[in-house]
Amino acid sequence: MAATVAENYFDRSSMLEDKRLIWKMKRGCPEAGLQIYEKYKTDLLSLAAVLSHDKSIAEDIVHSVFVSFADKIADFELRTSLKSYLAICVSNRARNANKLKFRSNVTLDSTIEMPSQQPGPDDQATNREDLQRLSEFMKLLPYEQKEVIALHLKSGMKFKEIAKLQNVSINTVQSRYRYGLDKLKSLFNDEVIQ
Amino acid sequence: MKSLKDIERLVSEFQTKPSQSMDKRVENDVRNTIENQNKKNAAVKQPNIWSQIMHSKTIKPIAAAIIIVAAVLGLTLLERTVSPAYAVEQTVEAMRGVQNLRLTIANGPKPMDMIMLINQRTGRADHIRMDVPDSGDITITIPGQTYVYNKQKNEVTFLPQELLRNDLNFKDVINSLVEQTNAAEGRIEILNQFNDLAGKEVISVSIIRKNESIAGQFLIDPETNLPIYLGMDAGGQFNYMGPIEYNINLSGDTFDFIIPNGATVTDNRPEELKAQNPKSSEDAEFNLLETAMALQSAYNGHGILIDRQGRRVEVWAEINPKTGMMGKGRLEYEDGGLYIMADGKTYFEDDGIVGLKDGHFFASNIMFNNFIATAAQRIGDQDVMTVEKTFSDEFRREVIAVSVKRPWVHLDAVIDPETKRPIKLSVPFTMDKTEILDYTELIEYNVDLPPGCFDFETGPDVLILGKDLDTQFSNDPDYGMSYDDTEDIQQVCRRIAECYLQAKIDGDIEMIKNLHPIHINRYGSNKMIEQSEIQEISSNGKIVEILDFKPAYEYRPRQMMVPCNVIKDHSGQHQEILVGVIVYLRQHHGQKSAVITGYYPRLLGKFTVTPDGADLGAVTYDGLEPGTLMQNWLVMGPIPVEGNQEAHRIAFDTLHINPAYFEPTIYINGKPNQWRLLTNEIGFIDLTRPFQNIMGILYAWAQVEMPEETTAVLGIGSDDGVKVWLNGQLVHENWVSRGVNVDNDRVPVTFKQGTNQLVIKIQNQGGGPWGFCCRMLEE
Repeated sequence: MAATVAENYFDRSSMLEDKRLIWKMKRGCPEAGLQIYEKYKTDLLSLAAVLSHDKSIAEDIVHSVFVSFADKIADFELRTSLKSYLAICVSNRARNANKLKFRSNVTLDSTIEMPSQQPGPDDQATNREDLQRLSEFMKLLPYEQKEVIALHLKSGMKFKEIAKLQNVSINTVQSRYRYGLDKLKSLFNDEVIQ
Repeated sequence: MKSLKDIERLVSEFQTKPSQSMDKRVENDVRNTIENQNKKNAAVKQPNIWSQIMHSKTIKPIAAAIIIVAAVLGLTLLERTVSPAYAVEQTVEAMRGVQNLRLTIANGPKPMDMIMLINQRTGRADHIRMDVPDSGDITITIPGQTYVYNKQKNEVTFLPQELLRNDLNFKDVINSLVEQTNAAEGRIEILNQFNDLAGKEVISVSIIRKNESIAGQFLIDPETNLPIYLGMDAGGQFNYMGPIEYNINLSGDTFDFIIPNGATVTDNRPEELKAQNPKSSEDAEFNLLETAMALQSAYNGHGILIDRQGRRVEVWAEINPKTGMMGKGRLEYEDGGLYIMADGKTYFEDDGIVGLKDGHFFASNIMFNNFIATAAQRIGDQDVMTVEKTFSDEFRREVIAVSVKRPWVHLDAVIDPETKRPIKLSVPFTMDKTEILDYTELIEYNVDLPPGCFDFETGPDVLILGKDLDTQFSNDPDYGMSYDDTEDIQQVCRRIAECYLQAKIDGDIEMIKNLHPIHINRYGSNKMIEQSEIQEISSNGKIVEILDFKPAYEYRPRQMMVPCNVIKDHSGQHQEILVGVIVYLRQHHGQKSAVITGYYPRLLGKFTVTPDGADLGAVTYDGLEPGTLMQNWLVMGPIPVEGNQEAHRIAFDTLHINPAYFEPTIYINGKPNQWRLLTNEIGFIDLTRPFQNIMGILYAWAQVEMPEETTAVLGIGSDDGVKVWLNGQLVHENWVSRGVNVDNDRVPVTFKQGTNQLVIKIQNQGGGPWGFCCRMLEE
């Protein structure tokens, strides 16, 4: 219970902070925009990287999201969490980028840097290897499944929000999530994929 | 073998870090985008008196009408001696000061008197009384209700609506004139003329139809710039309404509904209005006062509080029946800290330290003060308060939700409609405050307190704090920096202060612990304290650079205050701020060492204020040293300003003195005011200590002798609004709510050769502390 109260507090605190930064941006303070960038850049870039499998494309996506966000700040109103809003923007752009990529027959590369998470020293090597494999396996998932998994796990979005974004029912979103994870699990465990 | 949980964890952990080039690209492009927008906005926001006036809530109906007329049709100046700016700006300005007005309509079929009370919050006349002298009939409209008395029939009728539209009598008449004029492709003429009706020279603003007949006319008193007659063509006959008198003395019962003896009464109002005579704006106030009353019957409370660091704290409080504040308190932190405040002492167990200290660690008003203060002080006019009954999902019942938006704080409270006591409070600081404080309390009253709730024991292990400084340092002779008699005290102070501030910049907590031991070490390794030492959480901003030191001065016996200009990083924005380090000159077994015993993240300096009657000689500067704050000022005020933000703005635009010529006595509202000499040894003029947090205006005057004409930039800091005159010319104004910092505004000026008169007007319009500072910059 205490944890929930504290989590709620931090959520609200973060939202208040975002509101304050947006308020400052609206009044022409570029530093506020850069603070928002600093706050969310890693999460958003990771999301874009998972969705696009290309770090340079991912960087372009996040760059264009922030420039566009700054450009439209005067009319921007924060209705949900800023993190979700930006994640949706990234997701939309990643989808478009993927379409363009397929059209131009650009091959997927895997220049994504591996993570700098810090588990215990003994687990570090294994974890890095797992994350490398995860990066490869994610490419094999259908885009919609990948998007659900990334938005839910990386951006903390609720299935309901993702359903709205993908314009499908919550059940479909949950199914995509489950199928996607099952497929990743099978790939990790060297099971035969149907 | 990986489980689904492992996969979920892996995806969560997957992280890609942006390259430096991306960071650079985003930084450049975001910055450019926002700065380009700023340029665009600045271009759009070029002074446009029309749009400013039309969007201003402060415009009163008549003035608005004049603006509409002028804006729609354009001005035709027949008489060149009349400034084109007159009718618009000056009349609008004058109208801003109107609290009430009386309009006499002597001509026409039904002569009448009309009194209007202008709501200073909305700018609309929300109380209107109309007397018809011939018949004795009276009509009174207040928000939501109307009283109509027919003397001939001796009948009183109460109606549940406003019969007289608050803008009907001026705005609509003028609007219709405008429409007529528009339809007739008319024009506006402004000229000075003698008017028989007014019996003097007036400025007439006429609406001329295409056929050269006059559709409507305002006669404006050139002395007050206020309209004194309104004329309109009513089907061939030209009638004048007036004279109009402004800000008359109204009796307290002007808008009261009084039922004359023997009158028959028809009351069409709903039952709840019959029982009382409510004014909507006072409903909420009533609730709050009820709450304040209800809190008086609370003798203890229990609540959950989320403190500003996000920690969950369980609080028990015994309320002092005399003050309504927390007399005894117990705070249990979720991370194990315990604080008990009772009998003027605080017992604590925190981070492995068990101690006892004189005084209460936490403000004794921690739970109740906000609400009591809000209720007791009533809601200021600048506050926006909403009160509504609503169903609370959290409490599963009907509650009263109160929201008070003040310039700096937004207070939300949930009140139990039965007990009238707050059961939840939430106070986030937002707006310009970079700090966000948000606490929520789930409060219950008059509970059974846990046994021994406020008891504590002081065993031998309890660290007793609050002894004299030498005793506190005695257990470690190595604290601080040694010095000997050969060293200059100023140098010693500066050396240790510089070392301390540099340690803050470097985040060297070990050095800080050594130099400033009692603050840090009494809590052991309390991380919050350490963090606040480095990041200055409570004051915002982190020191990033030391600029220069001012001479140290004696602050208390054997304690020196060392002022220092530093640059602080406030969420990415750098500001120059004066901080103060208190250095204690310690003697320990013949050894001398300097130790830091205090730190002021924003220094105010010692001040003196002389009695009335100071003269300019005391504030005459022989030139200005660039970079040095001016320390001596003659001050006049504070002149209290009451009312809402509009009233403050009006006061800001009102000039109470002649900034070109110094006059020893200034008359304000008929009362003489004299100048006093205010000196502050560092030039950071804090007005809160001499004059409290009064909402008001203060004028500061200084005289500067310049050997030759000098072009310079003045660095002006102000909390809040500021105007600056040099030799009677307004050189700067900024209507703003903010904290004072050195060089908030940079103002280019030219000092003439010889004596210059420098006048600053400071207005505390946001509440809280106020002050100013001024210096010539090296630019």
